[in-house]
Amino acid sequence: MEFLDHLQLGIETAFSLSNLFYCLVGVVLGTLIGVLPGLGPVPTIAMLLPLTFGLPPVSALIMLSGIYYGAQYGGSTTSILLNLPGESASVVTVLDGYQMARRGRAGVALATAAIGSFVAGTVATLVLAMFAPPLARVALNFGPAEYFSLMVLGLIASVILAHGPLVRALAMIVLGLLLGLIGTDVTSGTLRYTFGRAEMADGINFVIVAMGMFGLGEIMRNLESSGARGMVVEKITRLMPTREDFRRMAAPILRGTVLGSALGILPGGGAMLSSFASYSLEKKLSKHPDEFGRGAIEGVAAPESANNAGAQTSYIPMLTLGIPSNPVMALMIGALIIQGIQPGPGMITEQAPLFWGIVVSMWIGNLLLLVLNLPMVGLWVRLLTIPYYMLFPVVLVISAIGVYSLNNSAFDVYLMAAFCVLGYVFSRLRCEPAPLLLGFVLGPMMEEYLRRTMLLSRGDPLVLITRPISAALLAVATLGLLMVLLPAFRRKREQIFVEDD
Amino acid sequence: MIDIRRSRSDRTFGTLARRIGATLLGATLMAATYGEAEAQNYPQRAITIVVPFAAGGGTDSIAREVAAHLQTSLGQPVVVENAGGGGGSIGSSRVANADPDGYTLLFVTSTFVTHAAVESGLPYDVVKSFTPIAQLGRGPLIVVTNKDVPVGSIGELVSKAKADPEAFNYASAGPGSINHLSGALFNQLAGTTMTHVPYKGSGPATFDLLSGAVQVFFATTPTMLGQVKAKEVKLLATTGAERSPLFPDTPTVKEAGIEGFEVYTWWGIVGPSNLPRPIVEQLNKAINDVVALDSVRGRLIGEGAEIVRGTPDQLAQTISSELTHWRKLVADAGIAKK
Amino acid sequence: MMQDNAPLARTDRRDPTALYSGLLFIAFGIGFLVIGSGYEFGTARQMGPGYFPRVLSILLIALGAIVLLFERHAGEHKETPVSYRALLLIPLAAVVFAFSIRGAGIVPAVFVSALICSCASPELKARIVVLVAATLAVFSGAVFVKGLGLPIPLVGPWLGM
Repeated sequence: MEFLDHLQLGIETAFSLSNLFYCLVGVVLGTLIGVLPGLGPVPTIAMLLPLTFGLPPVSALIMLSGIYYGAQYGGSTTSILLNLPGESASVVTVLDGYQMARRGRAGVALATAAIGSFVAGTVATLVLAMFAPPLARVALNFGPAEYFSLMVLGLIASVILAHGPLVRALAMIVLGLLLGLIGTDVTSGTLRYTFGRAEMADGINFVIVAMGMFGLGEIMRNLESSGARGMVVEKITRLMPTREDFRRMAAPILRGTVLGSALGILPGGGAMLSSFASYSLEKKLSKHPDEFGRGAIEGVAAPESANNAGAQTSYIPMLTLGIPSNPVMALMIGALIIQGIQPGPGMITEQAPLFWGIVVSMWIGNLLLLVLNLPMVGLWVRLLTIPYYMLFPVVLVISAIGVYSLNNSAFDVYLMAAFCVLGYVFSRLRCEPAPLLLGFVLGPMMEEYLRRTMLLSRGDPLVLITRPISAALLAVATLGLLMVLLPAFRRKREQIFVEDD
Repeated sequence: MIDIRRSRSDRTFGTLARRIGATLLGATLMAATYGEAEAQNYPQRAITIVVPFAAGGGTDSIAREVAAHLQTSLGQPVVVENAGGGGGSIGSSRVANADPDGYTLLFVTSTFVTHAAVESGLPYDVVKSFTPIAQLGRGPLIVVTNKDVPVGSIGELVSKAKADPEAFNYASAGPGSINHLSGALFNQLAGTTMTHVPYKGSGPATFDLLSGAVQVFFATTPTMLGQVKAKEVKLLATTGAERSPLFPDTPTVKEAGIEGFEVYTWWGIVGPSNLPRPIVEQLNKAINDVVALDSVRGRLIGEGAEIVRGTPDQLAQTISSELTHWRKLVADAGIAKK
Repeated sequence: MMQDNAPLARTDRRDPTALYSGLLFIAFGIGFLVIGSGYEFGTARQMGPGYFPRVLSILLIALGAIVLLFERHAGEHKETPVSYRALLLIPLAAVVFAFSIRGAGIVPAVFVSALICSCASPELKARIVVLVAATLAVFSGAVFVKGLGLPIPLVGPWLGM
């Protein structure tokens, strides 16, 4: 019953009046930042860090965590309403969320995201509470070879994600992989494709590509013909999901939660894959895969759950091993060090109230998010009734400020303008931006892990199949590839006779 | 609309008038007196400290803490601006090209120098393009291994690495990082051939060290402190001239017989070149006072570092000697970037 | 595999987007290949920085060629005419913003870029456009600079502040 004692300790810590207050401040602030795309949690937390010096460590971390998952949450709002993904996980939410919004189901999409996130957050918090240390050990079995195989699996998943012409989707992935290589090569330090610009030395930030191709590209598509009307939104029918919607979202939420919780533990980019992977899984399992990309509720429920679950379990490497799995975690470690606490393997036992307080506060934070945001859905949806000629300058300005604030660099905004044109040209040519973005995210990681694998194995590629986890992942990837290609060939034949679209 | 326009043109006119006034003033007064007058009133507006790394790293958080205290002592806002990228070269070149008025400063670390040693075509010169102001502190690195690696000391590491040249990999936070250069220096001085495995930052490197994919890591103290305390990794040595007060029982690499191996990381603040001397003096004093504050000092010491309260010339000395030292290693070991 | 389709080609109308997208992919592939030709290819043990770029560029060229030569889409695909005004003004607004933010400060930069991009809409009501731009400028200054503390001046040195 040690677990219950710990839980009680956590509840006592997290439910103190001041900690509840900091949790609330954190999630509200996080939601606001999340809603302003491009302005990620990292700069905000960095700026707020000095304010937390005066707080007790638990309160500081509770507030910073609130900002983190609040921002994850807020990010889905602009993805659904305005086609503006502020972070890699939201790209998948855009695919069906925005389509739902265009069909007058923005409210349902937002509510689905909220409910999915809450369920996922609750489950992932339990996972974190019960299994954090053993799971961290499992994560240590993932070496470079395993990560490479995982990335291969991710690439296959991104093929499933596409719904336009298949070969063009493949080409977009490869182009994305290439664009991802821009910048300093991790292994040799060589600058690649930077044209001598120091700003490109660290590669192109994901947000720049996503905002340019999705957000601004969408403005241009909307202005094409219907200028005055802007984005065509069907009449908003209802705000909350129907019973049928609930029935359809239940299983995807659970599957997304499991997948997200599992991948979130891996610090080397696992969390990033979780939303892609869960979307692809749902599309494959669905009885009506053709609805995906046209406003399928499963396409919002699954990735949003996976994303939130992954965000929660990505605390595991930090809390149990002291290793940051993303920049936000690195900031939190910084905050702890300032407070005189050295994060590391001893933290769970030495700082029991801190650990359990944070865990319980995560659940409270998720509950607060749900309670705060469900009533907000109606308000957000009303945003879509603003005339488009007033709305799109707002989108542009906020995107530009967001991108500028990434590095306080004007060059990044120029790049965004370039990607906006490129995205528009590609969309006119029936090439979807989503696979490109996936390739963009996966490309550099794939290369890095493969080269490290080969370096460590002294040039022997067999490690990829002699290490069991890696072999299993590659087997699943091969299976997935067959599943994509076979029906695609079959469809190709059918397509000749049946006119679609 | 009209109102907005009018007020804007008024403002432009105001600037123009002020500019003309300033020029006239400059013509009548000697330039030096003008500079002195400026310096006497310094600071009159917000000071920006450029941190040439993305928000959120260890360096960034030290810079922010120092900035917060400087704000109190200087009586003007001190803003931290992150200009990450290019191994710090973006933020550094921004400051190198800024006006030498004391309102744009650069937070530098040992990377400022190691990067310049490895990278040839930088748009600035770490010595000529900057005015050193003050060093904040410095600390040794620590040499750690995975806990299952059967070596207990630097001596054993050297003999095992010599016996099996392929057996050891050492991790780093990237090519040209202090971890990489330390490993290369070690290989050179001890005659070993451990393989360099670069990572994107210390976090992933630590992870592979814990899992055993790599065996050795010449790490900065804060990144591995928790692991060392929990005995998840083995601490073989520290890299300073003397033992670290944080680990009094751990020998230095030098003590273990690797003559000439001495590596530190450090932090400091510099400004653009030709920064007026009075401003440098004023900032140097303010920074030295901040470093002496309990909270800052306690933090640096807790991370295994020592505080440095020195003159601007001492920082200049550090920068130039480190640069010579690392340039030589880079040339000898052939690890310059193309 | 694609050649199976060939005998049925009579039912196809050639999809013009296949031509252009195929060419675009090939152009990108050649670009990446040429620029990347200087990067060291390396060995299997120590793959150089040129390994991935070269393999991927060639793959992209191949895929572009498949799109160009074999993709026929019979589907009905209605396209609305391109709005060249939007194509010009939206990126321009972003560029003007980026160019002026450091010098002019956030309020003027937002105001001007919002004005420019508003002109991309065919429905131009001067008074509303100015109102939106002004509100947005004040909002940005208040939220991003005053509220969130981004290191951007409200009104910058160009305007004498």
